[in-house]
Amino acid sequence: MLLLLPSQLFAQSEEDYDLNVGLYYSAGFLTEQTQTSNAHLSVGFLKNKIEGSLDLFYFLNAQGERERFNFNHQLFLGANYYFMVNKIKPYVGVQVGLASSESSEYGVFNTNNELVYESSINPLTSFNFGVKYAVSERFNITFSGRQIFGKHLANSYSTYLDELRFSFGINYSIINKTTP
Amino acid sequence: MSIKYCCSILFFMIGILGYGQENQDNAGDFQFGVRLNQNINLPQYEEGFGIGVQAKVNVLDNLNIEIYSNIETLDLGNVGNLKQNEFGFSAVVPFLNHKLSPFIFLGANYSNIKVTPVSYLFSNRESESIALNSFGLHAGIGAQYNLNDRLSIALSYRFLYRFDQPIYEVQSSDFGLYLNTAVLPNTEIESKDPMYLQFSLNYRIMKLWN
Repeated sequence: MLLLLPSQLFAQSEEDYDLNVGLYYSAGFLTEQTQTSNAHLSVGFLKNKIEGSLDLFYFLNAQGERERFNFNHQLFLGANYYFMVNKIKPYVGVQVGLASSESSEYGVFNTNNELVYESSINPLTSFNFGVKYAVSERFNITFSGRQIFGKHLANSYSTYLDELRFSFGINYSIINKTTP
Repeated sequence: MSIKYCCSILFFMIGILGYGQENQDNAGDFQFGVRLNQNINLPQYEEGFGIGVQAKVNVLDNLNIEIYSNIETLDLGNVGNLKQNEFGFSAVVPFLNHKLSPFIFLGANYSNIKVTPVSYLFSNRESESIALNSFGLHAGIGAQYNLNDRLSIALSYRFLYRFDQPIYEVQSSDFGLYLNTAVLPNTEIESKDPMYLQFSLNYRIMKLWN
């Protein structure tokens, strides 16, 4: 309750909208005790508790028993629903996306006798949840999570792209129109 | 991916339905959105799904024209994969212009389909890939729900008929599955026409005319 009390300071009416960008560090969890690190950039347009959102994940590295990919960059587009748009903004969402990935496990020798790992682009879906906490009128601290589903299909064996991923970082409102 | 997966999306969205505002589609509205496609008529060993984007113009109050682009990948029993890029358009006719609006649609599409056998470390089968450009027709039914004055969700069922199908066969033997892409044209192969369960999100961007 103490956290929610100052929420009206940043309350949003139906006419308000908010164009925001976020920069986050993202940690992903795969099976076989493997973790990934990603840089996460998001752009959102929030109006009437609905946010159109674009998310870009840039793969940094993977560690663990089975790293799977040389790279696995991902782009998502979809919508989030905010339960309330106050100082605390919890949300859930759904997005579709594309992964540009290259297996580090399954390569094929080409005609020049070189081991080649083929990269490919494959579809993804993601179920999202998260919460933003307004530390000022324009800055929010954001914690979010998502379950990603997909499959890397290239010229060799397939590999699941399923991943539970958490992001933490700062979100900034570029255009924040609030009714006086 | 399975039908259960699509249903879970539906249940997920049902949870937020009560918060929408009453709204109606009007002539001149331009909408853009994303979609998730699940072919529910796949053979047992195939799995995969597709995603896409669509743009929709409400030409009349009860007629919308939609253009879309889908990308779909299928794992053919871990012995091959199928990648399909599809472009198409549909004429969408809503029955009711209410918050919840059932609709029917009819359209045409073009697909670029590539089937690639899985290559192994010392067995490169890339040259056995086959590609095909295919035209088709589709029709379906669905329902759209306006969450607020901008955003709507829709669930639809789409039957797709293609004039040309890629000729390939996943053969089963004691050694496992094998993808044969060199099937003779007159060979009878059991093929299934795609039937998609489709979930889409649409966002009303602007009004093109009054």
